Parts: sequence; structure tokens; C-alpha cells
Amino acid sequence: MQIDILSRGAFRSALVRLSDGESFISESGAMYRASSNVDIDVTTRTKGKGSFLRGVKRLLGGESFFLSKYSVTGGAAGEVGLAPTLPGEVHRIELDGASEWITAGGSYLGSGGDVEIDTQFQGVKGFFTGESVFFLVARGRGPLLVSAFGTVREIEVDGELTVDTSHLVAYEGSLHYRVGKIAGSWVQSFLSGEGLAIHFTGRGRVYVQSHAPNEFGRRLGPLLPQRN
Amino acid sequence: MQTRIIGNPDYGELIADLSAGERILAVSGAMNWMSTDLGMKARLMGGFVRSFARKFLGGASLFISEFTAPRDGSRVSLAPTLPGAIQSITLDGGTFWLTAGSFLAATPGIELRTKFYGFRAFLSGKGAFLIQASGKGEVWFNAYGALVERELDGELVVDTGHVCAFDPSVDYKIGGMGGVKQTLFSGEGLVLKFSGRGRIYLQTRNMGGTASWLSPFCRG
Amino acid sequence: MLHRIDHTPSYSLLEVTLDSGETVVSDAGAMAWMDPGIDVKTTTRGGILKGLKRAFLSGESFFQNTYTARRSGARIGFAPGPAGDIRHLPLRGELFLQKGAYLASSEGVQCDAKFDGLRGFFNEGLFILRVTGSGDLFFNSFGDIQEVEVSGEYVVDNGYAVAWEPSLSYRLSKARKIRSFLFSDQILLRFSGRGRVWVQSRSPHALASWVYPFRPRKKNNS
Repeated sequence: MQIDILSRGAFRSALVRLSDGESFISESGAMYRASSNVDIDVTTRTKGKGSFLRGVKRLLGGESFFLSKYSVTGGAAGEVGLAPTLPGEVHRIELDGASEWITAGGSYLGSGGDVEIDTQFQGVKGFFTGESVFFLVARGRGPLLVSAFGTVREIEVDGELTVDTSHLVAYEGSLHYRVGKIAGSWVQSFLSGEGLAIHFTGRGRVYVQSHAPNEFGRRLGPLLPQRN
Repeated sequence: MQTRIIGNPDYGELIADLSAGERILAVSGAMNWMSTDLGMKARLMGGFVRSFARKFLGGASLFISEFTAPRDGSRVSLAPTLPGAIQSITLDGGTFWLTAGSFLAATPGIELRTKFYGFRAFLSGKGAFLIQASGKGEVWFNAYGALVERELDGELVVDTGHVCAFDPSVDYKIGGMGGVKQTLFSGEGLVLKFSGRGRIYLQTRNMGGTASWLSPFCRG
Repeated sequence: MLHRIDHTPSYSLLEVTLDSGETVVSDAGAMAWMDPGIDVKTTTRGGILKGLKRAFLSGESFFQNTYTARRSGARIGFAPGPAGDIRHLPLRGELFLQKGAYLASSEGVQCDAKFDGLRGFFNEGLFILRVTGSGDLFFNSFGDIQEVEVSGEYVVDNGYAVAWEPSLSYRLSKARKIRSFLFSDQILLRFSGRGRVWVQSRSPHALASWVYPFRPRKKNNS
């Protein structure tokens, strides 16, 4: 398996080259181009441990979260291109079997067939917007691909760090966290336009994105046709 | 205070390192991440009627966040809602005009006031105000897309959605693109006709255009 | 007509410089800025019926603007709607474009909308623009553009195929994905033959699905 991160300006996408017998998983619908010998299977089960991945209802859109599994047939190698929904970067995190990574649901792009993906519904609701954020836990060995709206930056936490929820891409399982408000009071938080924040403590890596998808959605949505 | 812009030109982000007691102002919602003990307070930008403004701004807020460092080594990362380039300008007693949505952050010596831009803009439903920055200090502003700086010496007609900021020495007139037919049907909406001498800052994308492009793909 | 494309590939902008009397055409709304001394005329480009067909089938704007310079050297900046790139193609013949990808063209270029039905699926298919004629064509993408020289077979999700040459044949098939009705536009294009297909790295269909919850709700009369 070989993963190339195609990078041009503001946009990155991943090109995964698979050999016979290898498989790759991504969020359903992330595939944008492929060689004709790639087989696509929609799955709710991850390989290995046999753990069930429940389709999680994203309260925001009523969408369920499903995975697609790609494998090549017929002996020859094949390729699958995976693209995020929003403009931004794609980053590869290598899971070493020791640490686990928690990824914001919207930031998960794909992972190698031996990586175990579990949903972990946090039930963190945006206080005023009613948005819910769900997370995925990735364990095992192999590549994990995350996407960002904007740039992806790695921050080494050694002490404390506060991250606005909509800017969180992924974090190492070794970190402790607490969800809270940002400013001194809820009123202040609302007025200042900041929603929820995640306060990390301990040691570990956090990946953040430079731009917030829900802010962009709130700016773009009202300009579009009405919906049912 | 030490500041640096990272991520330009595609995804500009402002990182500010503050010493004890230092403050920085930013548009509400701009904070990406920060030192956990950094103080944050909401303030209202001066000179406008709050409820009136909120109704016509399509979600943009006139609130400002004021960050105060309790100790040395405090850090905050700020970015605008729409991706693009960030630039700063230093004011030494002068003024600078920014469109709503272009203002990102400023040092405490800068005063911000809002001003109505014209009745016709107001009718079009777009955010109809400009922000006037004045005083001594630094102002950071952002573009949706790439930021284009033009040294104006003559005239230029610009779609209102593509204007970021401009020097006070430049004159502007708001209007349609041609006769009545053009205004109603040409899809340009309103334009700003700039004249005179000075710098104008333009952006290569605008939200109205993005929405028009995406609309045909929207179902349900 | 001289042209330059700046700020590629992320937020590309097209700047066209016209000679006196020269004309460039774009969809209404694409102009970002222009020098004085340019006349703007709004038309339906090809008549009302063609305009209606274009708007109805492909969602392209009903109106197009024709810009004619009154003096040499007048410049116009055209900006696409989505973040992404712009490509210039000296057109001599025919090209298929995704709806929303047309930016501007010189006068000898015509646009027409086309619908390609998906066999067995009522009302599902592909709306594309068929561009014909001789002249300069400028199209834009959502995301960066990857030009693929197909020689054999290649599969592209229809949201990502921004342009392709008519020398390629294609077969439409439904992707095996679980989708709600919102996604019924998610169709795979299986290209075969020889020719170029321009692939963009982001999909307007995916973005439209993503933004759905943020759109205002229709008021129910209940």
C-alpha cells in the first residue's frame, strides 16, 4: 500500500495505491477517482476484531455515518483517490499499535484495512446551535488519514491548551480533556461568538485546523435556496 | 507583543504572543486555540444600533473579543471565517476603511467604528456597513481568496463582494453597473466605483458568487 | 484578447485585456472588477429558449453579459464562485463541462445544456454543458485541476469530472454507496477511449450535501 498526498495550493487529496489483497477504508463518498479494477463495498464492520461500527446519526443532518471499503481484484494493482468535502489539507497519522487517536467525525477521511475504527458519540452539543459533534477512535496499526478545513497543524501539549471545538481535528488518547466554555461566563461566550472549547491537559499531540466548518456553513447556508 | 501571520496565501492565520497585561482585539469567533488561562471578554464595536445591524448582516457579528494575557508566554491563534490571505497595516493617527467581514484583529490603540455604506447596498440585503479603523497601532484584515493590492490612479469598478479595504484618500460611489436593465439582470448586483489615488485591497472570491455557483446543486 | 490567470491554483482569477471593439462573454455575476470604458450588455445568449433550457437543465445563469471595450487595454477581472483554479483552452470543436464550470469565453464560443439520463433511473442523470465553436474558453474548478490522459478506461465520480473531450465515451453507473435521496446525483462516469478528462479535487455535490443543514427551512403552511 502506498499513499500519496497530492498537494496543490489550498487543496490536498490522497491517492491510495493498493496491491492485490490490500484494503482501505474511507468515509462513504470520499472516493473521487479510481482505476477500474477497484471494488467498493459499503461496510459497517471493521476488519480484525470483528467489532461492529454502528451507523451513527449525526443529529445535525440526520445523516448516518458509513464506511466504504476498497480492494483490488484481478491481480493487478489499483488506485483510489480520496477527497475531503471542504477545501483544505490532508494529513497522515501513522498508528503504531500503542497509542490511539480520537478524530472529530467530520475530519476522518480514511484508514488502512488493519486500523480499527469505532464511533464514540460524545454527545457534545453546541450550546446555542444544537450541533452535535461525534468522534471516532482509531486503534491498531497502519495509516489514518484526517482532513481539515484549511491547514492542519500539530501542537504538542505539555500542560494545558484550549481549543475551540470547531477547530479540533484529532488528538492523542493520552490527553485528558474537559469540555467547557471559553470566556468567563456563558453570556460572554455567546456574545463573543465563541462556542464550546475543549481544554486539554497532560501530554500528547493535538491536530487543529485553521478554519471552522460550521462557521463557514452558517455564512454560506442562508444564501442558498430554502430546504424542506 | 509578537505577532506573525502563518498559512498565507491560502489559509492565513494570526498567531499572537502576549506578555503579562498585553491585550489584542479580534472579531468575534476568530479564536482557533489559545493558552487556557488567557482572559477573554466580549465587547461591542462602537457606532451602530445592535439589533438593526444583526438583522442585515447575514450572520456577521459586530462583537469584538478582547484577549488579555495574565502572564508572559500567553498565546492565541486567530483566523477569519472565510479562507484566504491575511495582511496587516500600521496606522499612525490615520484611518483605514474595511468592509464587514474583512476585519480580523487590532492592537488596543486602534478605535473601530461602523458606518453605513449607502442606501442601495442596504436594499440589496448585503451587509451594508464599512468599518473605520483609526488611531495608532496595527490592524489585521483578511480576504476571501487571494488579496490583491491595487495602487489606484484613475477609476476602477468593483463588485461590492470583492472589496476588502481601502485608503481614505480614495473616493467611492455605489451604484449599478449600467442602466436599469443591468442593475436588475446583470447579476453583478451592486458595484463600487472607485476614483482618485490611493490603495485599494480586493479579494478574488465573494460569498454571493460561491452561493450562486452552489445553488443549482442544492436539492430538497 | 490577452489573458492572465493569477493566484493559481487556490483562488485563481482571470484577467482579460481587450482591444478597442473586442468582446468577451461571461455568465452574469462573474465580473469581479473592471476598468472604466467597457460597455456591458446583458443577453440571454442564443435567445430566450436556449437561455431557459440552459438555466432549467443545468442551473447556469439565464443571463450572460457581453463586455465590449471602448478603448484598447481595458481590463476585466473574472472570479469563479468556488475556491479553485481556472483553465484556458483554445477551443476548436467541442468540450463537455460540468454545470457551474463555465467562466468566460470569446465570441465564437457557444454553450448549450445537455442532459444524459441514467438508464433505469427516472429523472436521474447528468446535466452537462456542451461547449462548441472556435475561440478562447475559460472554465473553473472546485479544488485544483488534475488533467488525466485516458487511454483505456478510467473512473471518475461525476462530482469531480469538470471537463472532458468528446473523443471519450463514457458509461454512467450508480456508485455502490448508501445514499439518501439527496445524493441521487452521485454517479460514476466510466470513461473509455482516448482523450483528456480534467478532474477537480473537490465536488460541488458533496459540498451541497454537507451544507444542507445550514440552509434556511421552508415555512410550512400547516
